[in-house]
Amino acid sequence: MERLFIRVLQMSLAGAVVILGVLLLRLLMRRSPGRFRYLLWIVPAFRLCVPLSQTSPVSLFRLLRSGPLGGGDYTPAGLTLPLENAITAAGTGAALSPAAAAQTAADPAFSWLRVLAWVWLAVAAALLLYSLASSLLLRRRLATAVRLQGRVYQASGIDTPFLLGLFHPRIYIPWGMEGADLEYALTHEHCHIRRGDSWWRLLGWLILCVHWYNPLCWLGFFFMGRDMEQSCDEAVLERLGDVRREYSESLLHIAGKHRLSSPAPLAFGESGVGGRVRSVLRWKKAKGWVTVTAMLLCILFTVAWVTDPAALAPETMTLNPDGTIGALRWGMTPEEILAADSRFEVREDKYGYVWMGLEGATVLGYTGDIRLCFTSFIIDEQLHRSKRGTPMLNQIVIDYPGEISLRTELTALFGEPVKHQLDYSREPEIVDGVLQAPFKSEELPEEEWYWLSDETALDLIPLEHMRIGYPKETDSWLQAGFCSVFVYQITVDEWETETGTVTSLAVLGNAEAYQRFLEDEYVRKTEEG
Amino acid sequence: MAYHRLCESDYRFLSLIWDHEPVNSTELVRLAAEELGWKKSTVYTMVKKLAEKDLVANENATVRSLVPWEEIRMQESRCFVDQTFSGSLPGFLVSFYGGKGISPEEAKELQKLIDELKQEEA
Repeated sequence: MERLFIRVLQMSLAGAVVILGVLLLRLLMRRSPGRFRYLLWIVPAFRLCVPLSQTSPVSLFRLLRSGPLGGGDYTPAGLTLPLENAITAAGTGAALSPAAAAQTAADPAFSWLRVLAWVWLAVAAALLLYSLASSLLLRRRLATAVRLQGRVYQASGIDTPFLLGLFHPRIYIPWGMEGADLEYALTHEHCHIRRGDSWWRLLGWLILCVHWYNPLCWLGFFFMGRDMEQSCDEAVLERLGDVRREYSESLLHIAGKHRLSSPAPLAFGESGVGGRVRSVLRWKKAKGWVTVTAMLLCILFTVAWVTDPAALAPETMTLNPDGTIGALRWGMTPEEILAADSRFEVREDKYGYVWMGLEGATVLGYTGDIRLCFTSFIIDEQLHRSKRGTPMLNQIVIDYPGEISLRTELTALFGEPVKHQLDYSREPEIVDGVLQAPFKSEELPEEEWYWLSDETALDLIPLEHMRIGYPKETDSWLQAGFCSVFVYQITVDEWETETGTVTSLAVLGNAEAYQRFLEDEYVRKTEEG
Repeated sequence: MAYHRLCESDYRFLSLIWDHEPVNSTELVRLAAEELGWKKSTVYTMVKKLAEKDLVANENATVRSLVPWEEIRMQESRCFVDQTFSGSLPGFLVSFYGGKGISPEEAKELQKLIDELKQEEA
């Protein structure tokens, strides 16, 4: 629950930024056709609905290890992982094992986060219930509306025409409405029907129910509604010619029938009608270049905010004085990490490896001490048979020109590196009673090395004041595949990033706990599959 | 007087009964669907409501009116709804044409703007 809540909060934050963007752009586009302003709202809606967006799928761990992902499509130069690995996120929620859930449930500690999460859920549920109840009530009230023609119904008890319904939307008008008023109202409402506005309105409202605590979402919903109406007003003017005066008088006439007993609750300075009448009066047939500019602005905006969300909301973590990052502490179990930081996820890639990690973090480089601790096992493909072979260390280090690498240190520890990577796609062989993995035939590129070790390498590698530069944006997945389990511990004093913020990666400990956890996940997934 | 709560919809429905009475309730459902766009359940609810007011009788699945057309006709002018529920229409459900109302001051101000446009045109 807390994890979900935090994820929603993150989406909300990203969405709020985009809403601010739309509000600013709306000011710029004040004179452009309203439908473009209306279209803009798709972008924040998308950001508020979809938790994950594409990020640059490049792994920092590509630099620190070799491994399962290297299997088929390892591309050393480009440092790119297959996109699917980064994005097969769907269903990770389910992957967050019963173990993790049980642990959370068993934890008696009072947590504010949990309280907030439940409050959030309760209010969202209440809002949804309220919506359901009021729509049922409204349907009942309108059951006796009498059909005038087609989907137009006359109803008592209302004094403004409106549109209701999703699949077969109906236009309800007050009794006795006729003439120009009726013609304008119907033209306006038919525009809503053509564009499926009922659905957009519902989507907006559902988003609002989830992000109810976010004032910018309410503001966004309000302005989306306004843009929706104004663009339909423009459609009326385009369809019926320049009837600005007649149309705005009709709007005013109908709104005026709805008497306000107290001063209007004008939330944003003017009533909806006021703004609409003003914009109708201002209306001019849009010139070609205005339309084109508005369209370009919309496209630019969409591209900027939908396809590059990583730049929008960088994953940042705070560096703690003890060298750990964010909420992570040394020796945490996987369950604890998952509970502590919602950005960690358990995923399964297309090779069937289960990974635990953090996506979207950017590390451009860091200085300070680095301690690495990793274990690696070759095990049978069918893990539940649990035929475990010789523990091996395999490690790839990539040197970048002008940078110091781990090579010297690792060679001192594990001897000379080899130039062939293990081939995980083939069955391990038993040689002299020892399970051995086959090697790939092709040699590693010149700047890469690979070590094998007979021992589980839990040694700490002190790397005093070394500096590793990662010239590319990296995606930091802490990973554990089932031919090999990698566990890293990294402490850093300072992170250099593009944005200057401390950004990234993770600290893990407790290698055994990881292996158990990920093996369990793997078995669970295998049995499910 | 029981009639004064009678509204336009009730009147339309009663007219339907007057035109066809005595009318089989299944037939009435068909007629109401055709003429008024009503659902079956709405028709039955309405028949029950009008029967409680002694305006119609529903016996053996046959509906007939209990008041003469002329009498109701006289009352028609009294048919009104004291309170509208436009103000309570949930904004997330419906798309308003005329908005949620306007204060007299704002109406005056907007009328002025419209009049300015009128003068320009003239």
